[in-house]
Amino acid sequence: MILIRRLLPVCVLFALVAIHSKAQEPNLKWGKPSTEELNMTSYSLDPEAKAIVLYSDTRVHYEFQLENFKVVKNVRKRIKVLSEEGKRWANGEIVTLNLNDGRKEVITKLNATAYNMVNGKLVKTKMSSDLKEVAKANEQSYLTKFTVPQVTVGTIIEYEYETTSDINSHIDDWVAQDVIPVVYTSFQLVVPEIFIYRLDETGMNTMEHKREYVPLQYKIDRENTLEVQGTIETFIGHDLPALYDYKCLYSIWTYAQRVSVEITAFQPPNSVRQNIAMTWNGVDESLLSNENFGKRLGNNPLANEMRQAGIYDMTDCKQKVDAICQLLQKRVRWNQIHSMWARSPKTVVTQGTGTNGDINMLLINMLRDAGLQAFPLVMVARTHGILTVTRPSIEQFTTVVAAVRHEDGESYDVIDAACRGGYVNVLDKSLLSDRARIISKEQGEKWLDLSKITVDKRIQNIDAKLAGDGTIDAMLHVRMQGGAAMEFRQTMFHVNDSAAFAAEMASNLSCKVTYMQCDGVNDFSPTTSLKMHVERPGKVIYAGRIYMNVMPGSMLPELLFTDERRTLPVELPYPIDYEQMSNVWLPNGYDVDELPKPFSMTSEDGSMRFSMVTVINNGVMSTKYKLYIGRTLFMPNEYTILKTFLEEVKTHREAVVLIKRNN
Amino acid sequence: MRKLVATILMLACCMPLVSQTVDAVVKESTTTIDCKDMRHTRFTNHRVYLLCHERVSDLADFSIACSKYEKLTEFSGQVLDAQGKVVRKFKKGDLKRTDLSANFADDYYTLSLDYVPPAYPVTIEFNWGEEANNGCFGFPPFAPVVAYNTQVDHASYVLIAPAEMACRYMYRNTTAQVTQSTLDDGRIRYEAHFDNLPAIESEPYDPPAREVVPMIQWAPSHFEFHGVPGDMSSWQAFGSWCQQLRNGRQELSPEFKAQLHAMTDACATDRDKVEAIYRYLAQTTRYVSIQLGIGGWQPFAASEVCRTGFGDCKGLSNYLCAMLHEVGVPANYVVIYHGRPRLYTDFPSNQFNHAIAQVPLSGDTLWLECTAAAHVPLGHVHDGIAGNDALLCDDHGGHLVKLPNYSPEQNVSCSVAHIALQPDGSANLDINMHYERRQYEDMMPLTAKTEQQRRDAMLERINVNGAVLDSFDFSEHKEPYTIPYIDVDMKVNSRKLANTTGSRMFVPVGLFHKVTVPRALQSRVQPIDIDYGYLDVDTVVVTLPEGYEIESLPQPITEVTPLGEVRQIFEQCAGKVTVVTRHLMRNGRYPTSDYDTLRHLKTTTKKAYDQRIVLKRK
Repeated sequence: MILIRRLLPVCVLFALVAIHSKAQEPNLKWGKPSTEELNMTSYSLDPEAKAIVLYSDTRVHYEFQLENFKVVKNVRKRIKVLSEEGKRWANGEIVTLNLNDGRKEVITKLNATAYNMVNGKLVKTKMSSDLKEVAKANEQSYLTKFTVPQVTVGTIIEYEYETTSDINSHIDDWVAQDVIPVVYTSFQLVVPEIFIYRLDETGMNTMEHKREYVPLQYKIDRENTLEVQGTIETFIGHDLPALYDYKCLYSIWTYAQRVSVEITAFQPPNSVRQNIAMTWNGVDESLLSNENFGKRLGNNPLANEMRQAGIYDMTDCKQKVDAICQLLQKRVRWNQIHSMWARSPKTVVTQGTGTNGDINMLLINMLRDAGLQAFPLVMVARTHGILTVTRPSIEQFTTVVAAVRHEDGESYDVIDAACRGGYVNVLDKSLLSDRARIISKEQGEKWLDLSKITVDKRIQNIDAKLAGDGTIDAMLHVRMQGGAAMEFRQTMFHVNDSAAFAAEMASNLSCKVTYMQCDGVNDFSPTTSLKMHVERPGKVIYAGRIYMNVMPGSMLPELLFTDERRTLPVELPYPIDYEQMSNVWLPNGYDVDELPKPFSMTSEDGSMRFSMVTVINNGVMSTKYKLYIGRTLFMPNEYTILKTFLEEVKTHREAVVLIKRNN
Repeated sequence: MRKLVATILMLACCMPLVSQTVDAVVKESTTTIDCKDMRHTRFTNHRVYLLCHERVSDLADFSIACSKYEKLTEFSGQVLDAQGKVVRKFKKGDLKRTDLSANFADDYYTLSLDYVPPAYPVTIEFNWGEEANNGCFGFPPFAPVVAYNTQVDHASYVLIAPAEMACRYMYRNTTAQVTQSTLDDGRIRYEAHFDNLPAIESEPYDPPAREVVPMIQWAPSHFEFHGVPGDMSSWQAFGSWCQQLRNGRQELSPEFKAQLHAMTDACATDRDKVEAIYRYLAQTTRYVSIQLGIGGWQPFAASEVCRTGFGDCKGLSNYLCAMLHEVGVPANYVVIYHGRPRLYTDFPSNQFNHAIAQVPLSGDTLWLECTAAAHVPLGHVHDGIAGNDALLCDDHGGHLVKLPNYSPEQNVSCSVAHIALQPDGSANLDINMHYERRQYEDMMPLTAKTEQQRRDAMLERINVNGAVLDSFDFSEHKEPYTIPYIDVDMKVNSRKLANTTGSRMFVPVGLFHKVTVPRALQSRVQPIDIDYGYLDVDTVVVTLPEGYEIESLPQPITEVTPLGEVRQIFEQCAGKVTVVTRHLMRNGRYPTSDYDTLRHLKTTTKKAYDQRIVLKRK
């Protein structure tokens, strides 16, 4: 069982659809690798593939056993090892569930065989039972590892397994792609009409899909047979490309070709329909009535401390929010675990640590207690994929933060009190989901787009004095907001020696730091700042000539992509908003020989803007630099535009001028 | 503006009783080890940590590996806040069990507690007991300084063991003394204390912590482990024990022996035989970590590795030795610590985590890594083991050996770029990069990548703005018994290699390397440890664009120190400028006083790579 989050139908999003010609006709015969497969040394559509999935077949159906319907899954895979690195596909893992309520999933069959050509003869080596190991992974799952013997370059591995699951309302997502190419893959789902289901297909490739209606029979006991109609859903994929990882991509599995199945209701013959899944409003209701979610709302164990802090007497909403967050962060620390669910607020306060679910539900209680309209805001973290809006379900959500409604009744502030260093509307980059849902009994729009709520904003001022010997004496002042402030704070939390930090900064800037001051590091506030006085020698100095960057001492981060192309999107952490104003006082008797030309550019959709202007006035060279990138998601077909834009920014940022003595 | 003010930072404060650089205090650490006999040992532990900062939050976690033979018998813990009030208690049932490990199979499971303190300072207290009932192969060291920036108030260690175990101990970085007495039952009681050990601050280029912290190591001379008695009073005896575990495990089937002979009988020399067998190992086996049997010390039988086609380091090394032995080439089983160069050679004990094979060819001893035979070229000693002490095990017992290492000059990279510069700052670059030995190893991960990933990786590696590849060739050369190397040839177009301002063009000369300068220290305490010696030689030839002339060339650089050197020269000839930069770092242990020299060398090297040639339109 592969536990991967559901996705938005990304096929709708993508203009680019990979089109492949078929490399070869797949061999669908199990246990009989073809001569072509055995002699294969590379895969024409991906000549460098380390291994390929020649054939993959997943079949899921229901069986009636021991007075209940069970989900039976059969998986067969044939893999060709094409290189040394490909040998690692000889090791496999299967995760099975074992729920606390006694329902579980068991492996009822696991076989594997290696096929090798030895001296012109086909040699089959079967995996023996001692090459399987079962380990308890956690409270709710087991991991079965297996390793196939006699696997070398050229080997064909076939393995098959069957699982039987009591959890008949759950069917695993079927993921058609892998990190190696897939020549042929199929998924067949047979569902009796008593299970009402919903399908979602997502990904960037095209798949064949066929639906058939058939009569099905289930033997209920010795005498009785249940005859019902059923549906067979079949998906077939050909020549699916390997998924490759890139920087600025939260998870390649977000974009993998997949089919998600959701059992929405159970309709026994001549009986009342039992809804399992529901509408989004149903999700809200279900969450609000959940013991570990909605039932956690209402109890504020920190009321006394709020009273002592005078929070109830505050009239300004912002002041209240700030005070509550600071109080909560002093009392409870995040254990670095994201969770939707919360324990009792009293337990959380007593233990002093908790998940972000624990902390944010407690925050909501405190905010409500102080008279604010606060709600749980649930979402799927970017590290876990994208929400499938067409399939309302609780299990899609992975985490929760707090939303505070403004007095206008429409807009919201968003807070994650688990995040140290964060602030109102300053969330960790993994939480900048484009769809988060407010959980409340109220009607109306409940979706919020958080993708632009936190911006990496930096404003740097450089006031530098240049000496005739090329030495620069500068005061650098960076004010950070949003994601920049949060990340700076989090860096500073781990600094154990301020002198060492200053020395580290000095090394990075190739200068000597003579003064440093950080403000707002321990505050719950929107900004932090770093002020430094530095001294550094000029870059290149000759008699009477000084070459120097127009913005000496810039501390703005550099974003650059060097990959030639991408097949998956770019997911930037935050929108970017950088400004820098640099003033360089030239030495007496010196002047700039040639200034860079003013430059500005804006992307076609206006989401990226850059400008840089350098002027000289009364012996002061002033440069104004602005960079704005308002989006965090760039599709593969937009990659070149982004890459070229950033290269241009780098070029201008590194502009050098000659400062020379007047004749 | 220009004030020399002490650096000010608003940082989380620590307890007033400890200095600012102390992250944790080991208030109490007691360990009692009670060996009733060779097989049964009971461990009793008590720890009290004062954690001043979340940097050391790991000390609030608890984790222990258990097995059928090694059990956790008791556990309790508590958390006290800054006022000394108990805010949390733990019991054995709070520990989570997982059987998961990185190994395919082993005998162990883990019991763990992940605890995040709500605030700092906080005191964490753990008490636990363990029992081992299948022999004792060694004892944990007495090393209560568990992390950098951690001071120790009080620590004690008691070991009670039967006299026939003849326990030994060894002092490191301490003047503490072990006291010894005989109990009524004849067993020996050893006891040691550490009091008021100061915190050790982490510094750039410092030696591994285990080499600087106060420590007493312990080992039995005589032991029994999983029913196999042994002697580690000398390396010779310990090697005998290791060798004994291989007894009867080198048998090969008659059919397979015939196959080996068919493969090698025509070989003219032993070198050829080794080459054939090593190639066979590479082609037919793979590494699978299986830590079963005698605590993971006994290799799988050679016949079993032959049957399955996989094994761990012990199994594969034993298998290779068996195959070589069959074809008449002597080969030895060697245990070693991967990633740790020096053993405590004066203290025979279990100091190993890996096994390899040694082949004593005349005048050319080979050290063979068997877990990655397909990757590590025959004759090349890879970085994890090169220069390391090791224990060779043969029928005469154990023999301390030292593997060869490569000199910095042998770990060379040579990069050449011919740059045809255009008047708008764009350029065509013809680049060749050549990597040998350890630098070859650094590049080896790219051999497992796709062509596209290699192209992207190399584009990221070079400092060329707006680079687009015209052509790309990546080749690995690792013929047996030769120096392995990787060559990368690239033709690159850069939209903007050189920055232009008005009539000037600024051409970068450091295309291949970036240097980080270690931070300045007010006072350096520890010696300097440079574990990687290398040589980089870069040549950049710039053909000037039409209509441009040189306005400024940087000054040549020469800096030679005992730790390394950097030299950079510029030559002008017929419309071209050639820049040669040579940077050598010598690995080794250097005195504390050389830290400024190291910083200066790194600063100068950075400067060399950051230089620019200035051209001006005529």
